[in-house]
Amino acid sequence: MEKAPLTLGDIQEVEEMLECGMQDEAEQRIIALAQKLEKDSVYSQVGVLTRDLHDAITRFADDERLRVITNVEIPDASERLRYIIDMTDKAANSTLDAVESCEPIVNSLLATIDNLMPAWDQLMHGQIDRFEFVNLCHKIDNLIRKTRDIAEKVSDQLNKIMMAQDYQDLTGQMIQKVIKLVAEVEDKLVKFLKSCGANAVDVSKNVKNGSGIEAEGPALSKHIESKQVAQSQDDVDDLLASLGF
Amino acid sequence: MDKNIKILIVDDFSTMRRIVKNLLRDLGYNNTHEADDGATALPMLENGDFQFVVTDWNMPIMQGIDLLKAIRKSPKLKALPVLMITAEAKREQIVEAAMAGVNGYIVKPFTAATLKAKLDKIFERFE
Repeated sequence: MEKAPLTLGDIQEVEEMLECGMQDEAEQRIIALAQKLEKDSVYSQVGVLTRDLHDAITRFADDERLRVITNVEIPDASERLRYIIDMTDKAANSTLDAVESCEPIVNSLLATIDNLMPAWDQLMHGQIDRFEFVNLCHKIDNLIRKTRDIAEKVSDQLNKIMMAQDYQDLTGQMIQKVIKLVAEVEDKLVKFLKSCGANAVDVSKNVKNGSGIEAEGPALSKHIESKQVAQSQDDVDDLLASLGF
Repeated sequence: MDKNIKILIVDDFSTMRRIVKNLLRDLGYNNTHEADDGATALPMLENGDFQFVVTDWNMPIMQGIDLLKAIRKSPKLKALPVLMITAEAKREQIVEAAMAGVNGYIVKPFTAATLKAKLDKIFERFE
């Protein structure tokens, strides 16, 4: 729409109306003039924006897929993530159980070997008498049997540790599904923002990267690459050393 | 160093506490106790004769960094050595922990060798 400039005629017209005592007409004329001047700026822009927003919200709300996502897939994804926590917890605990159950039996094997070592050294140096030799034979017999028994037990536990790693495959598949869902929701939100007329502003620049002191958990690889984060224990040690540690 | 020193392991994940406990036991330290966050740990430290603390940073209720600050503020505990084992690896965080008076800082994932090296270094200084 062309923006018509305010003319002397317009003002004179109002003046004449007032002189004739047409108070109401004069006021309306002023409002009409003001609207004509404003048309292309604020009023029309607000109008366009409102219409765009209304359309975008309607499209967004009518999106059948979005309803499925909200009502089914997001609760489902939360459930999957909780399941992943449970599975990794279980795997870690059964691995630790196996390791802890090996510890005492391996230690008892070490103790048995330490116990017969002096007599064994004597034998190897040809300094053993008949009585000690017989005694040593019994100890070695005991050791062989014990070793066999312990090897079986340790092998059993190693097997358990191996089997506990199956969580990687199962949780991996679940995480893939959640990633796919997050990507789809992201895509829909981006489209929504675009159809609202919002410029695709790079908000990541405006988002605070945390106060630095707040706990954030394991660093993401993009943070590691940006060098905000120590890359390794050596990096941490160097940083602390530079602080006089 | 006396291997019987009383150690408190503070981490909200029980598996990580078990791992640290096992690693410490392998190094000969058997007198270990556990707490699942700073708020549980602090009264244990105030009331017990602990000689060493290993703590995570990111925990519910009271974080490791706040536990460290509380320890340094307490007249009874201020000299207690504190080792942080955490996934927090931002430079500002490491500097913050150093300023708060941490005695060692290990980033997860870590190895048994790293733990041993840091313990040796800390105890060397305290002997």
